[in-house]
Amino acid sequence: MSAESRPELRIIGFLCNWCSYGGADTAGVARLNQPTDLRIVRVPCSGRMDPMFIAKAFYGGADGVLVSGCHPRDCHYSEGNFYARRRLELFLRFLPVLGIDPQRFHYTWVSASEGQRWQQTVTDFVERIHSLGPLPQLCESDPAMKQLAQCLGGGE
Amino acid sequence: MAVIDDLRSAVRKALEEGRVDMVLGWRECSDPLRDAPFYARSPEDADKLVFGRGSVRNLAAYLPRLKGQKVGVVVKGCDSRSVAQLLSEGLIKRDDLVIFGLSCDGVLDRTRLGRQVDGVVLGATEDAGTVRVSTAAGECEVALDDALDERCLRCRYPNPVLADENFGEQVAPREPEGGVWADVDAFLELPLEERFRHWERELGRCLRCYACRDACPLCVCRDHCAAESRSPHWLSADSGVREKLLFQVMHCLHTAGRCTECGECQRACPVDIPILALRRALARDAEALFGHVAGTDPEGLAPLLTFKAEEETIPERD
Ligand code: SF4
Ligand code: SF4
Ligand code: SF4
Repeated sequence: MSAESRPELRIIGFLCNWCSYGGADTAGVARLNQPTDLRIVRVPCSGRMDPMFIAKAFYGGADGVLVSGCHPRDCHYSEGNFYARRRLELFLRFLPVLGIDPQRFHYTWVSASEGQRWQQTVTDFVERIHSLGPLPQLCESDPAMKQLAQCLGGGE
Repeated sequence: MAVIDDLRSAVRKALEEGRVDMVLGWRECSDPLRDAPFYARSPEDADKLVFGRGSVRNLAAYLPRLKGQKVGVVVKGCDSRSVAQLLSEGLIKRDDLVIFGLSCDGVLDRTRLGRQVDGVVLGATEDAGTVRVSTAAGECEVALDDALDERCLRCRYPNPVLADENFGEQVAPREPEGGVWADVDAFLELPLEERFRHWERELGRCLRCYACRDACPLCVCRDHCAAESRSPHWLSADSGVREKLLFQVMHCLHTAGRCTECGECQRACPVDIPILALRRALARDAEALFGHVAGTDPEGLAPLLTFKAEEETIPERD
């Protein structure tokens, strides 16, 4: 793998245990090049994806979040990804309301055998996040606490 | 006024006949702009009931904790949606409930009105589309539409969606300029980063008192609220804006597809954070995606509790 010259961004991938985690593994075993910006969290099923995981990742400093599960109708638990699809789609539309570019979030389906497809998905997504740059950061501290600190002569 | 007399006698009758142990309604209180929630427990109590521009509070919020008792509840059109939503989720039982439905043409918003007058509002009277407000500084006039709760300006359900008895003349739904979602559309016109900073700034004032949650008729987890859970530990005691934002997002997501936009959350907020906009945006998308208007079908299922194998409105991803 070639050394990256650009600084890494923080990208979180939530991968379902049964399909996409296997797909990422397949890509690894086949020695397909993958960007190194992605931190993978393995979830038992995309149906386990509470959209709060994604919100927490963004507000915790992630620049992009990727969710991948089994293809519809291929879920290990039959219907987990069907529930996930509704939640994730609604959350995708909620992001612009929060002022977070919906392009920073992507959800997709990758099976355990699709190493190549995984490589493509993760490469495209990481490229996309790099073109968007880092997510605006929240102010470090509570404005009220800041004011209080100033009043007490503590300055910044 | 005939409507209130009809309501009082219907409530009195239900209490006399023992069909209900109590009836939730409104009665006058020291606040000239808001009636107080009131439990009428005896037939005599029925005479204390009032209904008007100050009957703001959505009494459906009290129902889940009264589960198991025979309860009557007085609802406006919008409130009836909360009742329907609670019924659809099995959080209250239809058999235990007597619904007194009122057609409604709007309630006053104290916050909105307060911004347009000097000083504390001491009283308000209404005459042909104008609200005459008295304050310590004197009297002034505000157009009714500038004093009404914003939800009333775009009210789609002025008549109860379900009730055992109905009172008042049927009211035509409002057709606001720019449509029901004009406020959401306008917010989404702002540049992305401005929206991000808007919530950072607004929620920066949040006290984390959780009054928004406690007032919400659909927040029923009580002592098991995820915001206070230690395992998993969703929110820390950190005083920064991040936890405040996360809490707000949590409340929005937990009511997604269920929220009837009643606005109790925003009204309860002691520092006037405009959090209803977040819920309205989600409600709009739930409607666009799932054709679902929360609280309009007491037998329906919240859209996130179900799915279709083929979702017509969600683009395919291979
Ligand atoms: S939203 Fe409609 S039913 Fe509810 S208070 Fe306003 S006008 Fe009345
Ligand atoms: S979230 Fe707010 S607007 Fe929605 S149901 Fe609860 S209190 Fe009403
Ligand atoms: S009611 Fe207002 S101040 Fe209290 S937690 Fe909710 S948003 Fe924050």
